Amino acid sequence: MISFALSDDDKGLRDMAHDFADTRLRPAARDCERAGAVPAALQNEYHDLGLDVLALPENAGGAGLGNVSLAIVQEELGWGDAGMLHAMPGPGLFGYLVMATAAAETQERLLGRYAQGLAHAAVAVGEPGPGYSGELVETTAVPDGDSYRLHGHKRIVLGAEGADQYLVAARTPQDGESAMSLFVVAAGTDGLKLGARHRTLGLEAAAFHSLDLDGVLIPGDALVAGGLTPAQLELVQGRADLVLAAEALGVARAAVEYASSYAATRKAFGQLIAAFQGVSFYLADMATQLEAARGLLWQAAWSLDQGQDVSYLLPAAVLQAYEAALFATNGAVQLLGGHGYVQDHPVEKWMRDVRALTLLGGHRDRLTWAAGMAAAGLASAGVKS
Amino acid sequence: MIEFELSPQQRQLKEFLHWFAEQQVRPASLEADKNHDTPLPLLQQAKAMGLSMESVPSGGGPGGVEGGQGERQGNRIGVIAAEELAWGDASFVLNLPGAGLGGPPVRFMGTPEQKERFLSIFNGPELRWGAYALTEPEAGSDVAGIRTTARKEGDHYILNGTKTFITNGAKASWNVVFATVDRNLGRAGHRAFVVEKGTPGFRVGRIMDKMGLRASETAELVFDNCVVPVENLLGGEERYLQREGFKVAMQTFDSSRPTVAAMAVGIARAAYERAREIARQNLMLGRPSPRYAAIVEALATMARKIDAARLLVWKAAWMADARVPNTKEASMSKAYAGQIGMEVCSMAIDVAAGAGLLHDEYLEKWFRDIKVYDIFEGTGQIQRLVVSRRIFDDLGVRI
Repeated sequence: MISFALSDDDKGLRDMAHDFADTRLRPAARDCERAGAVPAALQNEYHDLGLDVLALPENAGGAGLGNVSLAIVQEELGWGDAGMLHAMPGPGLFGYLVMATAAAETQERLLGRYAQGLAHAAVAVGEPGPGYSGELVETTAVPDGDSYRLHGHKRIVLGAEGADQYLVAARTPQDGESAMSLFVVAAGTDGLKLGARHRTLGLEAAAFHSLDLDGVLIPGDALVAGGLTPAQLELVQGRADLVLAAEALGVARAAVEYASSYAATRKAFGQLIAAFQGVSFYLADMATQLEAARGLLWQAAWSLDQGQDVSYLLPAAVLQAYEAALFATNGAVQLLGGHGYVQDHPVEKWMRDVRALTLLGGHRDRLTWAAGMAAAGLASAGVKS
Repeated sequence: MIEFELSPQQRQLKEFLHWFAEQQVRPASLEADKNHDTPLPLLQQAKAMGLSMESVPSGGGPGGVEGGQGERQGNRIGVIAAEELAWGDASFVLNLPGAGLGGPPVRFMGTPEQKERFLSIFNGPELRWGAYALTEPEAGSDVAGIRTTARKEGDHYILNGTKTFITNGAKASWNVVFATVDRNLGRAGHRAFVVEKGTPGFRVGRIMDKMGLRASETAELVFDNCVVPVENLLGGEERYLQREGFKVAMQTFDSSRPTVAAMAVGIARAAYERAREIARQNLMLGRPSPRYAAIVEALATMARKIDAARLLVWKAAWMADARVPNTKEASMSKAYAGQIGMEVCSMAIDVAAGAGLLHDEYLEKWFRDIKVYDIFEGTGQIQRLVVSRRIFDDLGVRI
């Protein structure tokens, strides 16, 4: 039966996440952005609430949260502050990729530590960007006895500083011409060099660095998933994309709320600007697009929970969410006018943060291609993608 | 719990209606478009199946499929049915016999006697229609500004004015007609009457030619000293001490807008599927096309917007079933579906290229049909007005 009713468990999770977002993330967001970091006390609180391991399987100490619940929680946290969220402890995007590719024992081995205490992980997959598209990856993994030797340069790695392990994508020509494999590399391994910190468009509370892999020798069991095609690599990122999209919706919801409140108090030409339809219709469109995108994202999350084929629905829902979030955060800046552009108000930050969020996972062109090919039944019909 | 699985009953209905739409409704739709009416045998068949305009917007369905003792699901069933049938032919849906949009006001505010009198006429085997006459030549979106007057004289009201764009208004056994007893009173002066066919002073001005939905009747109705008995004042005199008249006119939309939006989703889906079929044929034949990537992107965009619109429709319908106020969500669904419906039908023509031009490829018909979904039941602008008012209401600001 079609229903949009949250279960009591989901309501509890949502309220807990919202409270944290409202009382901890939102008030500290600007300071953390300027400092480029989240204070340890806040990281501890986040960890103590178990927000870092909600999605992890129970054998790795997590809550084994389903995707619908995850979408609900991450939207609330995104509403608080997406930048801080990506500086928080836990396996983060690393976790989703490992869960999608590794066997249960490996998951337990790689992810178990995050429930125990404060720890960070990072994803060093994409080249040259931070996302997961595999076509341009040039890093190589050459077998060396029972081990592998990694050579390459990851230009933009989120959370590279302070991570205790990295998930690295590298070409493994021995598996095929365009084949790639995912390896886990422990921090401190010889040849792993952290580059300078980048200044970024948004999400500045989180750190982005470059990472050099200069003949990094890793053991054979560091191989998490071998012989993936670029298209397969896209597929394993599904849950990460879902989470990023939910966060983007949360940021955008914050922006719509803020712009609505502004329009309900700001006067021009002798009346509230809310009374001008150039303003109010814009807000109506922003709210409508978010509502539509949330519905589609929930449906995709639900389908994923049901074990259904989401090769069309998931990228479609992510695209829909990004489109709505970009529209709504841009709209919020626009409706505040000059005030929207200066940092006295948070909307300019939210617009930058959403723009940055959309680059962390699957690329727009890739998502579009995947959704279109699946929708048209062309991928399954054997048309070359 | 959040769930997007259709119940077995909903799925069965959807599959059955899809089959009917595919086998019977769509094949008849091009002729219907040309002849300005759905073929009578098809409507008789629909009636025999228990399909009615009544069952579509308000739930129920063929064979009296209803929620039974369990959870109320009439609105969800209604939107599922509307999408499938409109996928076949939107005009067909509007032509389904029954009280149509006239049903909700009679049900919401009619006295028990009025409900019996006006709704029971649809129980028989004959094809009958009801209609809803609100819009006037000078009062479209601004429905509060209606000018049709009602003057009480003894046991009667005398109606004077003109109604326009009335779906099924000419063939209807009765129209729910909104009129004002005193324009100075604004909305408080509004009254709703059930005006029966053959009432002295009531006549059909003309049937209008339209861009699309050409198989659906759109009438202009003229009230020239039309004599309506007081028993036909919906809800009786007392009901109007507040501003109930206008409220009723608006309440109808909370249930009708998601249904209309669902129809737009159905038309858009039809166009998308046809475009997809044409694209697949070309792409699978390996015809090299520099437009390949652009077409794949177009298909992805069309598909996700249709699906997102459906989710808005489902949410509004779910809220209505749960008896949660859904005015904002109903308008969101209508605004979005009307807008993306037009976008999708236009993109479908691009994808199909030359085939988009031809009448017998359907795409041009759907392009003409979909346009009105951003206009009737409240234009896209009115929907945005409703949505933004609710947003500011929640902030304690009246705009």
